[in-house]
Amino acid sequence: MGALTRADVITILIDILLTYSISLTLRVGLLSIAPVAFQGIGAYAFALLTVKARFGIPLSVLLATLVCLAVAILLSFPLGRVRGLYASIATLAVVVIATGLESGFSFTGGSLGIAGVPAGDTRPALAVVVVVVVAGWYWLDRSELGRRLDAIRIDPSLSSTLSINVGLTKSAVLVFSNTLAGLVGALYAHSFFFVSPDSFNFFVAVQISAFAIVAGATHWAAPLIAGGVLALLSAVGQNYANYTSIATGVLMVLVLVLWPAGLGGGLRRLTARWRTSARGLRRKGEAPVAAAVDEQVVVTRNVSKAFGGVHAVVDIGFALPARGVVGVIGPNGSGKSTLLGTISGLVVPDTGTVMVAGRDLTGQDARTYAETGVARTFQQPRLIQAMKVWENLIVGAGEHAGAAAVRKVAEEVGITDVLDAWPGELPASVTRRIEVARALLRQPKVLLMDEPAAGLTEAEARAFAELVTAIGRDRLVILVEHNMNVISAVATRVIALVEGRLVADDRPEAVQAVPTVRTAYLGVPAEAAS
Amino acid sequence: MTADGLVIDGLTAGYNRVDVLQGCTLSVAPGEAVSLVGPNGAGKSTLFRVIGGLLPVRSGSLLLDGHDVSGGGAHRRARNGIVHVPEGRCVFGDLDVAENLELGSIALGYDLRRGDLDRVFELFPVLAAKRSQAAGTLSGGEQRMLAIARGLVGRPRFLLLDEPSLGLAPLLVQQLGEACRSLSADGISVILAEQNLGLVERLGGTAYLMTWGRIGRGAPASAVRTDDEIAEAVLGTQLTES
Amino acid sequence: MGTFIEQVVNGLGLTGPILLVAMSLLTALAATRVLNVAVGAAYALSAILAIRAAAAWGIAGFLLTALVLPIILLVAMELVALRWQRLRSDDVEIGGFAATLGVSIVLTAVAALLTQSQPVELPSEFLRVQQHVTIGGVTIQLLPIVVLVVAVVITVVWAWVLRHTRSGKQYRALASDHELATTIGIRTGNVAVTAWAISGLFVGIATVLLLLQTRSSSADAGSDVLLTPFAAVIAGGMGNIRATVLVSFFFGIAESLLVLVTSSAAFQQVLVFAVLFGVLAIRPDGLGGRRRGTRAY
Repeated sequence: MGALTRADVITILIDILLTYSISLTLRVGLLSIAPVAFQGIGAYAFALLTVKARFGIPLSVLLATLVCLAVAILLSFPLGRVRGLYASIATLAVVVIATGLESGFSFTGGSLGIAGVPAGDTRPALAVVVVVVVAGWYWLDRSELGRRLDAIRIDPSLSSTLSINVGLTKSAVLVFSNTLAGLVGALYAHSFFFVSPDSFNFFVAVQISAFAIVAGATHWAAPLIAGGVLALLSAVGQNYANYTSIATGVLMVLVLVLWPAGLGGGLRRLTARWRTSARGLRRKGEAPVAAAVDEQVVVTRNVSKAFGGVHAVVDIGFALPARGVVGVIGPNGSGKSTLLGTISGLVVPDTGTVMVAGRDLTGQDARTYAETGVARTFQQPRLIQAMKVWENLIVGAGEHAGAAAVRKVAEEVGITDVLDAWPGELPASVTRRIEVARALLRQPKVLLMDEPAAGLTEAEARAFAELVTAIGRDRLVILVEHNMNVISAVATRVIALVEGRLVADDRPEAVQAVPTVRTAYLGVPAEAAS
Repeated sequence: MTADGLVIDGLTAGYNRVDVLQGCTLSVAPGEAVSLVGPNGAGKSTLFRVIGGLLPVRSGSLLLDGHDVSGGGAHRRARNGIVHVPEGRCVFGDLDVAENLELGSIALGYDLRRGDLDRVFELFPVLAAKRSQAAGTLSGGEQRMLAIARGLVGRPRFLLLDEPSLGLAPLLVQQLGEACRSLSADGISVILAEQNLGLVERLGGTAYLMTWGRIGRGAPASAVRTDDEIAEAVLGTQLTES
Repeated sequence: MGTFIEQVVNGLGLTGPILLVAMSLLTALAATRVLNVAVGAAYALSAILAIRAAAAWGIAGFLLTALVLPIILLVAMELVALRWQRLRSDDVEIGGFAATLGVSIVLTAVAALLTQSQPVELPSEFLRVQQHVTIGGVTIQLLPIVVLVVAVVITVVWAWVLRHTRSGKQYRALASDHELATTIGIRTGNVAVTAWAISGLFVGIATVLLLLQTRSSSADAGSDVLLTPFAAVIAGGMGNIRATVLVSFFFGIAESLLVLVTSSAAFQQVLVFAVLFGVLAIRPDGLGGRRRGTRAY
């Protein structure tokens, strides 16, 4: 086996960078293979600029990268709308379209490509880019931004209720990933004498995405190691290309089967012990004191919503004060969760308006509601299993999440002992408290709770009720709950829904005496009510 | 010595290196109603997963009518008449309500009979009204009802209900209690894991306290609030009545 | 005008194989939510070996290889790679898709090894069929129309099976929630394998019918066979049979009409994927798609 040629080294460096480009998209839960197309776009742009327009090399690299940036930004609008597997397919479409155009047009030299591109030794330049990218990712793993990306990957709709802008973040990641690949493409064209469509086609894209999948997305070194080793393997085994392909494919499937988070998942688990600890909470200033609140913090007017022709809520209107606990009760399917959804922005009402803290938020997304001061807990607690409790608390919390604020809230809610635990190890009574703490850390004006006492023993439910009462002293709590003991203990006002309509809005005892509520909900005969 | 019914002896099981169940012993005769009560994390759901065939037995025995049934997966248990309704909203969201119900019997290898559907629709009229709606568009509580109804059309001999009252309104919990009781009267053994003591009382039969992966002493279901040991574990001190 | 009609008829001919491969993709998708990219590579490998078998053992060898090999390949894929992937990962869709990319790499490389990356051809006198008739000045290729009819019949029957039979409902239950399907006693392993075997059978039928037209294959023939049906399945909303059929016809005819405008074959795929990209940009769940069931709040 001879030493590596210059071309081999360049190919390996390029493959490492492309692996990083794709791994970065895996980090937000996408699998974008578009970087290979952008490598092509960058390479063709560079070739055309130098060969046809006779521009200088540094200028051409810059311009080619800018072209890719522009195309990437344009494409990020449609790509940002598409989710999950559809997004992967859309990026595959980009690859197929780009290759097709490159081999279809005559000014790109058809299937032969463009020859006579000025060539030079790009090893130093590529090495610098690799170092910058690796260092950037190392920083990312330790930053708030990295944690946001993880939250988006693991639970996008939860992330948006935590005021993370999911769509914009994903689009930004795609733009960055594609532009990086464009820069790599320009350097690629400068490394070799010619560019041709075959270097950026479907098969190449599949090969590089195999590298990225083996690497995974959760550790800074993984794309470097996986991309480097696999690219080295195919460089050394050039004469046995089919065998190295088989090895790559088998390895890819093995990783997916045995180690779904890729090499990065394993590395992260190894280093997790000393990396993530609540001690790592950075010191920050005290959280700002909650601003003075309006008299009526949540106001709905004529809110209606239907799902597929079935009316979930009809013509709901109420105004709720800035402090206290308001209970929402009603039979199953009476629209309680839908109503909660409209107040948190997860459901857009068909008609009517929703105002929070004096702002009309009708039609806005969940993130805007979260930023205006709405926080919520879920029927089934949604914590990110791959993050420790304290990380769950601060993800997306931004400037509110100073160490002091976290400790204060943890104490208030009674979870100080479990900050360093993994959520999966904890019973339901504790995970519900963690959700509450996560919500409180955002200094919400309104806290929505969806059946927080479900599945708790009566002793746990009682303790939880005390907590809810305490929380309601400083803000509005809207509580959907079937446990009438809890409702009676904490709520100062109860709204009852039956078949999507508001049938009562009064003190708890008064609502429990309303005949419709008694027959449709509590199961007490109406005549007993009078 | 062969006893009819479900007999569990010294059962251990768990995840990874942790044994969640540390020697559970329980026997349920045909038609007997049994409730498991106890704090969260005691292992009730894990025990149901083992009995339902989703989690392997590590040691101990699981006998059905005197035959060892600890091998084999969930489909074999279902065909033996052990139907497990897990906790949470367990419905096929993409399929409509009627198809979800049909799957309860398809899974056992036969087609649905008219009477089966009528019975569950009588129990949960709201499902009859929404029979051609996609299950994913139902509310949380309606999805619970559908999951329970699907368990019923499988004509179980032993019906394991994991926290069926979760997310159900008080009226429905009462109706569910009546339904469980009448199933029990029909000779179906209902095995309940519940925090809602009202439902436990309504079902009747025997209630067992489960703590730390072990099943403790049994007491009549009517006594769950008065039995010292059980009341202390489940209730703490009594809530002020509303 | 004559050429226009001829191209439309040609397009109908192109639609047959598109529809068959699309049905194969849809079947695997319906039961396991896996979008099987390796269908193309499975076709290429089977076609190569079927051509070898035709030379060695005649018609019986050809048919047996072309029909049975894809079934074996796809069932093996399900048993070896996808089943375990599904059990261990929570992201079934992207994980499964990625696993089929891996299998695709392997199968393509094996095909390249077998052929030294050279195209292989059917023996020239092997199964030559009467090629065309002329009606009113328009020449119609017969074989492609036969392929189309076979594809349409299979599609109609299969759509009915999925909708109304016990097996169909089990497939859809499995795709909807794998763990729950296990819990309620569906024999999920058997159901998934059956679905993949049927998916393989469709690839097999496509292999026979396509080889009779093209008479040659090569290691990288897979991507041409895969990409258009793949785009049709996605644009149709991943699971909506009616929309997939309509899109398949549209793609077949559009690809054929494109010849009137440009001579470069490269633009065919550009057209198909530009349409796909446009559909996804406007309707992110495809034309016939709806957001997955469960309410998230």
